[in-house]
Amino acid sequence: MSALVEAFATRAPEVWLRTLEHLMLTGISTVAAVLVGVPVGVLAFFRPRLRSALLSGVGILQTVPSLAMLALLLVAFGRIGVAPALAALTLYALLPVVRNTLVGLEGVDDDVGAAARGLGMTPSQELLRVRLPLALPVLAAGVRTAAVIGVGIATLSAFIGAGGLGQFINRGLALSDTGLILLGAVPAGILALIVDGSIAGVEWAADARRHRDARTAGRRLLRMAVATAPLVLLVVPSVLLALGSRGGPTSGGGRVTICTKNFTEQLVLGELMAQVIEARTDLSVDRRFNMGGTVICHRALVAGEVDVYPEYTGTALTAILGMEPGPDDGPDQVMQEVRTRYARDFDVRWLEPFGFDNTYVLLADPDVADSLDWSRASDLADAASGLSVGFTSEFAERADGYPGFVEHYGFSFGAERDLDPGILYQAVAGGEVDVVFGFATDGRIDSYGLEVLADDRAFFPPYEAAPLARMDALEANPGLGPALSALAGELPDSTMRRLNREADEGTGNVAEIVRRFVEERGLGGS
Amino acid sequence: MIDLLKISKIYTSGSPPALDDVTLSVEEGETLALLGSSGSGKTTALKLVNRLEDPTSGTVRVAGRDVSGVDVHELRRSIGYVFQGVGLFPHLTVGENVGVVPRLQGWDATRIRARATELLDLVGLPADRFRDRYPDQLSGGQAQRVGVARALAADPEILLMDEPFGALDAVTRVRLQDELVDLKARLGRTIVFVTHDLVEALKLGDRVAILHRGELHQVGTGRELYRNPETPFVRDLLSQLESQMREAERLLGADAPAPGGDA
Repeated sequence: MSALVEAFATRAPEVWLRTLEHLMLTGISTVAAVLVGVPVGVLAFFRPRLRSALLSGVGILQTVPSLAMLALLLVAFGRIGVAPALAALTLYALLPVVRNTLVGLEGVDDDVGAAARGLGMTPSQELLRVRLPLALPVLAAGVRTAAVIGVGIATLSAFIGAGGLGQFINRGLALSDTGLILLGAVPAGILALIVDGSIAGVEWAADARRHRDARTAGRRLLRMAVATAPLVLLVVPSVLLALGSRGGPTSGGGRVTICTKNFTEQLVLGELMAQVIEARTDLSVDRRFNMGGTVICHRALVAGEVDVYPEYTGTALTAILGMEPGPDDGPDQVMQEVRTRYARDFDVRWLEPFGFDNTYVLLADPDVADSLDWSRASDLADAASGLSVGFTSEFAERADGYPGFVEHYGFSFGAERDLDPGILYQAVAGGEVDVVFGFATDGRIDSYGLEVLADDRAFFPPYEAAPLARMDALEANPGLGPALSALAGELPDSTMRRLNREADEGTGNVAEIVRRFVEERGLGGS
Repeated sequence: MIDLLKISKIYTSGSPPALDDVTLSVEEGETLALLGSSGSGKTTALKLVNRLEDPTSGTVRVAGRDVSGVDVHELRRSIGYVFQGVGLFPHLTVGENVGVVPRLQGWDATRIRARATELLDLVGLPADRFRDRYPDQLSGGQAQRVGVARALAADPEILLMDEPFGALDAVTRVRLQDELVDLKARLGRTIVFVTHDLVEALKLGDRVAILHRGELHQVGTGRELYRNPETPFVRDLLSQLESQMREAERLLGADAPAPGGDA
């Protein structure tokens, strides 16, 4: 709890801003779902043959895992940010809206429908004057459900750079920082309650039959105002704040957008690049950290929504270019390869590497490794079928990940578990799995004192980290390239691991850790 | 006023017809009772008039016009319709319910209000007390009165009533029957109503049409039916009345009042 209070105290303005973004995502998608869902529900009502198809259609949408939905829409839209997030949220909100519209229309008493027809109403008059007004309470309940689900799912929009309270949760997960997680989760929960209560209040206020005493429009408006007050009180300061920050001091020089993936090292690198750019140029930096993975960052960069992000040569070669490193390729060859291809295919430049190689490593608990005499990956060949292994879900699928490892080393583990990068190291240290595939520069290797088992058959390609920048951004901002080059070679493995550990252990936030480092090394320039 | 000519109606092919070659006329200003048990086709016959059903074969004429050529919604608005379920719109006040058809016809608000007042008073629900109530604040009898007022709102020449009092308790039913006798005398409309209650048919109908299993057995005044039943079914039906009267006399003793009048 104290972690939350502390986190909130230092970040109140940002909490308001993220809350506004969150409300906007939820609000717009709910309205869109009503605009689409009510007509679909009406269609289902009038066309019984289409009914089951329409209902199962929106039902299936609901069962698509949220992250998968976001990823699919990201591909469909070809861009990150608010648009695909709104589309995803709208699709999720459709089911309750469509279903409740249909149920509400069908729920009208048969006698009332018979009377409407018998009195000579056309089908559209029956719909608009009788069925929809009577279906309204059920429909409103559907909208409420949709909005509350929306508040929940909107936390995931941060993965594709749409902002919202999920941004705190993502950052908190990446840094294992409970205070940050709560900073996103608690306001999101409160927001869900407020949204639910406000819609319920509007329903209550709008129900004429419940207020037979109050016939005047004025009284009804007053009730409505009271019901929506919490929402209004929340939105107004958020809007003012957002407007205020837009017109703020950031309007000086040009603007560079940096994104990162969602783990500690990426956040440190992103913040480091941002601070160096801010110190050495008059550019302002838009930090879009914590995106949902390699592909999302890559697409955002290629689409021009992001100018800079940190990437690893091996990842680019295998995950983006779909190539395999040659057997004798060293770091320089791999760098040469990706540099040429990125320049040619994407108009993106690989700048000078930071100086460390964050390859995958096989990690074990040191006591276990000692007792079983493990020091190299191939030592595990005989025992592997009785061992459990943990890795990130990205690693599970990548050609330079587990499938490639199995093929290269000729053995596989008995049990496999996909784990969040945040808990990999803890899992092996705590004995929940026997070995994990982690990242060579992760600070938690030192924190938990894990044993690194050598890649003795040289399976993993080099993963030299370097800033990627769009050519046009480099040309438009002549100071950008030189600023980033100041970081060349400044981060050997040990330094990177130390910074990662500091960030993970929460000795100050990432920005402070990076600021200290920049000062210490004089990276801010003259 | 209303002519059903050689009407047959088959709902699902293969099943026995709901109506089989029925020809029947309703004169202007008369009240015709369609009498029969369930499955007799009486409700189907009624619904043909405002095209809630269309015949499989045959012709329906209203005021001389073949209804198959008339806009179905215009036709229904020009004919009052009351049924057992009442079907008041629960989200509208009593006054608004009565004004539904005038609104569809595009009347202005003042005229609709005046008309609703007039009709509520006519059916015995003082407008100043009932206009702003909602249907769930009404008793069954009051709701059906509103149903009648709603059916009469646009001043239709014809009023169709499908077992209008079927769902009411016996006391209320008799009171509403009496009111309808009074009302039809004052309004002089053409009324067709469906019932399975012989006494109700005789009490309200100037003439009674007896339907059984889709066939029209006989049409006539109560007296004609009673004196000259043309089919065994009609004879049996009317003889039930006598046996009921005897039963009542036996139960109540010699001083029970003798049935009088046409019935």
